[in-house]
Amino acid sequence: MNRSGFLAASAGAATAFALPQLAAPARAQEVVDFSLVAAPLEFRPGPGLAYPSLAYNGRLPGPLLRVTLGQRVRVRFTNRTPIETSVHWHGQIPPNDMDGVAGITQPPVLYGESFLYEFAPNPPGTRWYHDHAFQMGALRGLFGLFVIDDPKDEPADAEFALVFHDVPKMDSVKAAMRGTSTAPMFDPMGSPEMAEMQPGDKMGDEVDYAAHCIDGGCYPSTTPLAVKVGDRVRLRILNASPTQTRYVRLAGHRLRITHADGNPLAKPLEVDALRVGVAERYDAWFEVAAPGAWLLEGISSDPLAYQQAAVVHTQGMERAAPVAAPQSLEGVEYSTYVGAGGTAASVDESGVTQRYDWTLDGGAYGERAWTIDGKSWPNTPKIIVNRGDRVLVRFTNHTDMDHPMHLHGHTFRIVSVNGKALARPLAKDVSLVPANGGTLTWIFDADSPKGRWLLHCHNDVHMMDGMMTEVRYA
Amino acid sequence: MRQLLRAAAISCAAFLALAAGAMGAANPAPTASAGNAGAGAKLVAQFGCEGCHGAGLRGGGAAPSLFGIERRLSAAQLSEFIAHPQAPMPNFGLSGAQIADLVAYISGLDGGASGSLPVVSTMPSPPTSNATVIVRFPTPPHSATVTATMQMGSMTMHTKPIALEPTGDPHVYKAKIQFSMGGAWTLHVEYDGKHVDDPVTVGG
Repeated sequence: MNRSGFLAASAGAATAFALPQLAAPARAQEVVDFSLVAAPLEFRPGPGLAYPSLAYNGRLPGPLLRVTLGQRVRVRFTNRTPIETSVHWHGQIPPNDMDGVAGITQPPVLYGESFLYEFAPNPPGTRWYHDHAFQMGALRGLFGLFVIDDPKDEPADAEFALVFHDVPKMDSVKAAMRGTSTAPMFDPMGSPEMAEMQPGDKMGDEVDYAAHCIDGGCYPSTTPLAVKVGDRVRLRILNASPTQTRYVRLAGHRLRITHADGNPLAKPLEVDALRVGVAERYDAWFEVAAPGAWLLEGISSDPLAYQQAAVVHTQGMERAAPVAAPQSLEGVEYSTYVGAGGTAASVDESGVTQRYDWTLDGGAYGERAWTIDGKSWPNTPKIIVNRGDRVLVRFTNHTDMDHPMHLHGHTFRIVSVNGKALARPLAKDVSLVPANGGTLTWIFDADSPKGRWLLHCHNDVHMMDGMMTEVRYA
Repeated sequence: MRQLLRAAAISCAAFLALAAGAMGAANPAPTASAGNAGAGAKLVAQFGCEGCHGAGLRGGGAAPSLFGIERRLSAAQLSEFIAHPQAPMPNFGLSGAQIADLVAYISGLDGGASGSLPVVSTMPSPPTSNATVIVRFPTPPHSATVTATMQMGSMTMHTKPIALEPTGDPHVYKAKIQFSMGGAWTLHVEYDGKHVDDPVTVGG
C-alpha cells in the first residue's frame, strides 16, 4: 500500500487531526510509504499573523503519520531548507542508523539531498517526529505527530490528535543560548514553575514567543472539535514547544489520562488539567455529558495565552460563545508523576547492573553551559552498556527549572520522584526532573539495537548548550 | 543556578486574589457600579485579551480594537457583551464587579470618558476648513480653550485661543473653529492649568 498520495492531498490547510477509526486491521509486514519534504514556509496561524518558518510538506505542524502496529514504514525525506537537518522518530525504537540524529547516527541531510528512513514503528501509541540536526530546525517548525495504533486499545467515539506549539522569536533564542535573554517568564500562576516567580520575571535562558498555537492555528482560527452528547472522546496531545511546560485544560470537564508518552498507565488518572513537559505526550479522555461549547486551552500567564485554544462543541452549538477557564492553576488539580504512579515503600531495584547518580546544573546568567555531572557535551559522562544490562539513572536537579530529560531508543520507567518510590513505575521516553534540588530516577533495560542513543534535555536551548550525553552499546 | 532578573511586576498576592476571584463565578447581571481600571488591567493580562484584541487592545486581526470603544458602546452595553459574549469571544464567567473593572479599563484606553484625559474629536471628522471641535472631559472643567496650530518648517501658524462652550452634557464642551488651510494641524486644548494635544488632518 502506498499512502504518499493521501499525504500530498492532506497537506496545506491548518486543521485539527480528527482521527477516523481504521476500516480494517492492517496486515503485518505491510509497508507504508510516506514522503516528507522540509522547506521554508510563511506560517500564517491567523489573520494578520505571519512568521517565516520551516515546515514539512507545506504545513506546520507536519502531516500526521499514522500506521498500525506491525506495519513497516518507508519515509523518503528531502531537505529543501537552507539548514542541515535530519528526522528523529521520537519515542520509537528503530535500528540505530534510523534514529535520525545528524552527526551521531547519520550524516546531516543538506539542501537538495534525500534520506530514506525504513523501520517498523514500535512501541505503539502517540509518538512524534522532528528535526534533530542542532541547527534549530525543530524550533522553526520541523515537527509532526506519529500515531501507531494499537489494536488492543479501547475504541473512542471521537478522537483528536493535537499539537500544542509555539512560535519562538529567533533573536530571543540566540540570546537564550548565550544566557543573556531578557524574555519574561509566562508560566501560569499556581504552577511549580512560578513557585518563586512572578509573571514578567526574566531568566537568562528564557525564550520569547510571538504566538501560541494548536495544530497550526491561533484562536479563533483553530479548527473546532465537533463532538456529540454521549461521546467518549480521546485526545492525543503533544507539547512541541521548544522550552515551555504546557498545562492543558478543557473548561467544564475533567480529563482521564490513559497513556503517557504513548505508553498505557497501569491505572488511569483523572485530573482537571494535564501538565505536559516539553516533548511529552498524553492521551486523555473526556465524556460529553450535555450540549455546549467549551475551550480547550493551553494555560499560561502570557498575554497571548488565549491564542492557544480550540473550541470543543456539540452539534448546534457551533455559534455559542465557548466557556473558558481562567489562565491560572490556583485550585486546579493537574497531573503529576506521583499522582499517576502512586507511592510505594521502596523502589524495586532487582536486576540493576549499572548505576549513575548525576547532577543537572548550569545556566549562570551570561554563560552558555548547561551540564550533566558538571560537564557539557561532548565532555559529559557516558553510559556504556552491554545488551542485557539494567541501568538505574538518578538525576538531582540543582537548577531552578524542571528539565525534560529524554532518552532515545528506549522506554525507561520512572521509579521514584523526589525520593518517593512509585508503586506503578511510569513507562516514558521523556520526564521532567523537578527543580531546586529535586530528584528523579529511571530504570531502563539495555535491550535495544546496538549503537549510540542520545540522552539529553529536550529544552532545545539547554540541549544545544551542552545538557546532553549518550548511551553507547559496547 | 540561573540568575533571576526580576522586573517590576504585578504583586503576587494581588494576582492570586484575582485568579481566585475569577473562578467559579457564573454570569450575574452586570452591575452599574463604577469599576476599578487598575484591577481591570490585571484581568486583561490574566485573561489574555491581547491574544485576540492585539497589543494594547488596538486590534489584532482576530478581534476588533477596543481603543475608543466607550465612544461606540455604553458601559451597560459593554458589560452586557462581556457577560453574554458572542462567539468567538469566550465566556470567562466573570463576576459583576470584575466586568465593571474591565469596562473601566477598556473605556479609558484612549483617555476616554472614564479615563484621566479629555477626548478631542471634530465634526466633521476629519475636519474641513469650518469645523466644530468637541471635547469630552473626565470631570467638567472650570474653563477651557482650544488653539489650532500648524508647523510649516520653522514657522508656526496658530489661531487665537477659542473658548470651549458647555453643552447639555456637563462633560462635553465644543467650539467652532476655522482652519486657514488644509494639512496637518494640532488641536491644543487647555483646561484648568492642564493641556492635551490632538493631531488632525484638515481636508481641502
